Amino acid sequence: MTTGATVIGESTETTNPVYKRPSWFRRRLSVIATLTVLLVVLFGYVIGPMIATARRSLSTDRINTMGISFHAWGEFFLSDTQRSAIVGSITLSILSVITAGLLGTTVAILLSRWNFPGRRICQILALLPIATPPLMGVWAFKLLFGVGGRIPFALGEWFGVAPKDFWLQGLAGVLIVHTMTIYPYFFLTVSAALMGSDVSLEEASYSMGASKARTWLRVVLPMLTPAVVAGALLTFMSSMASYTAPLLFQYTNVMTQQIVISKSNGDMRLASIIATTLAMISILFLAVIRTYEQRKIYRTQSKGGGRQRSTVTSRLAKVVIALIAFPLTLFLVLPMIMILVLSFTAKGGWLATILPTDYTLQWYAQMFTGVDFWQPVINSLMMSLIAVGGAILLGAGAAYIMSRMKFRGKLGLDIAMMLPWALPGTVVAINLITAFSDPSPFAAGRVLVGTFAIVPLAYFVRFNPLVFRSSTASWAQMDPNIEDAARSLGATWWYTFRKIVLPLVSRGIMAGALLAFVDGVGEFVSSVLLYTPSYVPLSIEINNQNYQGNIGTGAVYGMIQVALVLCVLVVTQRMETRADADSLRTT
Amino acid sequence: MVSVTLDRLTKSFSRSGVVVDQISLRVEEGEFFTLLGPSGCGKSTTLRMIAGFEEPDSGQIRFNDRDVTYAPASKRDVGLVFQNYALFPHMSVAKNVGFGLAVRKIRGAAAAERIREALAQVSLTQQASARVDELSGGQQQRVALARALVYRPQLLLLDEPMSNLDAKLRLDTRAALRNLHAETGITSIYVTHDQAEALAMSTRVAVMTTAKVHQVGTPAEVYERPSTRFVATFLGRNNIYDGVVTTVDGDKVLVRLPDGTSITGSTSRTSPDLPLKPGSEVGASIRAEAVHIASETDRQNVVGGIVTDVEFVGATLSCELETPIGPVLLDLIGAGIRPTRGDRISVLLSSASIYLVPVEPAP
Repeated sequence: MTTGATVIGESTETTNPVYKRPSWFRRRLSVIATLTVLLVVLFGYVIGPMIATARRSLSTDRINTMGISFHAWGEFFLSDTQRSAIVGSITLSILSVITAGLLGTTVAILLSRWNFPGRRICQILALLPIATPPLMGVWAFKLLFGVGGRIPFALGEWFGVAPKDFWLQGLAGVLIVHTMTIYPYFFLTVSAALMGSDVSLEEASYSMGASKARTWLRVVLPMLTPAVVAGALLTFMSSMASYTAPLLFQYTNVMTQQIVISKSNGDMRLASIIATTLAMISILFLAVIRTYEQRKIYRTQSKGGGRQRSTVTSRLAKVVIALIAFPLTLFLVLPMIMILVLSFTAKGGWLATILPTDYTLQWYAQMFTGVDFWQPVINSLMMSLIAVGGAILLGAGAAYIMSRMKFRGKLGLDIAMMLPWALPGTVVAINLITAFSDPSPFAAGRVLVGTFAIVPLAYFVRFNPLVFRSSTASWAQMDPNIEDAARSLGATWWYTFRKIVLPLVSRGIMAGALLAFVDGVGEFVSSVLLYTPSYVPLSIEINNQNYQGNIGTGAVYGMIQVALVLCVLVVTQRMETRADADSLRTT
Repeated sequence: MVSVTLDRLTKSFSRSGVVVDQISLRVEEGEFFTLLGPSGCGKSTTLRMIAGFEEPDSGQIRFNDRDVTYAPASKRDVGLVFQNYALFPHMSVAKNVGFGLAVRKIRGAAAAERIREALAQVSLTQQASARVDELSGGQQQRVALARALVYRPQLLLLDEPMSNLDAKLRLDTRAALRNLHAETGITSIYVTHDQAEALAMSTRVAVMTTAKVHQVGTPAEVYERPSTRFVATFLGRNNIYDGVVTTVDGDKVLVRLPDGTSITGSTSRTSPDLPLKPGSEVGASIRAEAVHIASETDRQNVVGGIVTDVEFVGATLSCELETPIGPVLLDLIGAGIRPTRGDRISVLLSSASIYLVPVEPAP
């Protein structure tokens, strides 16, 4: 029963402009236009190259794309080398998950559950491996633990054992690098879960008469499971993608190495086959991760006081925990210390001793005197800058239309945007090589391979998801009502975008962009397959210098990377603190 | 100031189906008009269509005689106060308030004066340069109000602006809003699910549920003369007993309840268009505050029962009674008889307070 209040008359005259209902096309124009641009870029540089690689894997010729045949795929699965590499990659990844998981979880529990003197410092140091430059970091591991490494040498000096027995080579070397560089995934997720877990659940368990051991076994640890699984999936994926550690420890029994070996042998078809297989495994894992993320994570539901860390009171316990925590932390930052020491070590100044005997500033002096010393730094900065610029346009743009506009197929677009995040750097490089070694409409009809442009393009493809994700998060945080408010106050779309939207989300976008920038400056994996000698990126230069025996120069470049990373971390940290203050205001 | 006309307004979403179904109503110039209804009844969507954030599937919205159905939100010249205030977190209080002026190219001293006035109107002069996160919820709400009024829009829209405030603050804000409306005389449309707010503030109320308007009227009309069963149950604490009309004698109507009890009502106190002849099914309703303890002399409309629950809420004592006709809610005012749980008492459902409503639930 509907009761109209007053009789409604027809309007006859209007003095104001008349607004007609826009046509179907006009109403969707903005969505259609932005989506078209988005899809062209996605297809041209992300999906298209993947398809090109898959196509190449089916060609009848080793080098050129010709015909279609599954013959080479058959050979691939029958080849002992290749089958062994698949098993090798998976074995390595599983082992990495176990070792990194044990280390990360232990460190997380140790540093977030008990209060002991020096805990804060340990906590900061434990995150330092994140700031370690990727390539120089692996070099440091090799010089520490590898053939002729300092740790086996020190063991020999102190305990009289044969250092040779403790040289880590091949799989063992790769594994220690993975453990110590990947464990932060576990450390961060488990720490967050421990800090966020609801104390009242533990209290409830105690109040019902459960012992401490039972409470841990039945309440605390099960609540950590989602965090541990999330960490494990990430670890598995990054181990599958790992290229640098196997390269430096000469462990060829993994798929990433086989891709590069086949490419060097001129067999692009085999390289494409391995790359396609690896891509499919990675995509499968991305799918698993996304499904798992949908599931609930245990979070505190109580209001009020946060977790109280149990303070260790007994003197003995204090000593025991400190005795475990301090050396462990020191061990974790060892590679960083190694790079620092190397950058001050004179050539030949560190032969048959535990610590260098001869120090020098000559490597740092190159910063001011060396011919072309800064060129690789400038190259990398430029390449990263171009890539990040593109990523801001695409990633932040896509995040905006996906959070504010209504259209079908959003999930598909989201997956396509995140896809390159799952792809190993070697696979991205192979994809770009297959797609851009011939003139392509997406490269204005030119060949990109062998030019400057291909490296920034690879960075763009690889790091766009970082910007996309951080932008999506900051747009999700922004109340859509704020935009509506500005519109109803009379502001046009463009005015609202400039004065309200951009100031509010720019920090989130910048946080992702800065991370992407840092990753670009340290990028090695796809650079090594794509760079041209006229534009050598920083990591390539470090690798070349180290191979030529100029480890001091490499270490100085490494320290420059560290300085860049630390700058960015500080800036990001500051932005986050301010963003936190902002988000409080809207609630 | 404008009048607002909604003409057969309809809106559906792919997920939730029809959320606004053929709504027609007219808000007169200078009215304080409230859309009242439970959550999901379509009241907020209606408001968003008036503001220009949603496009109706069909129907028309007119400000005076001007068709604004498809006009962009920025061209409608309305002030809008959001449930969560939607203040710009990166701007000071004064900047927030001045936003609508800046958009209208009112700058400098003229703008400063208007901002000062607007802040004075909501008693926030001291906080002009504060960051919005330094303000309390109530203060933020007042900033939102000042921001929506400073450029003197022709229409003010309020979307549950008090739902994030605590009970005490709500009473203060109600009074403040009433005063502001009296001072400015701006046509206002207010959306709420809180019947107390709606009754306390509005010149007229539209009661909505499931995408339809059930009744439009003054607060007294919708409260005292509900036109549908939904309106009768949604407003206040109401007792409704379904039965069959046995006799209609003059203006006296006798309704026989299933247990055999007869209740007397009046033909002058029924929902419009309610069929009243012997045999028609009707609901006899009486508000909790209209139920009294029966005196010795009362004969008609008296039921006895056992007190099953007593709740002391300050001004009144709310009791629940188990009786042969079903549970009876009653609110006792003042310090008369104070029944306790388990007492056996008789209550009078005075025929002057009985109001007859349709039996079927809301269509």
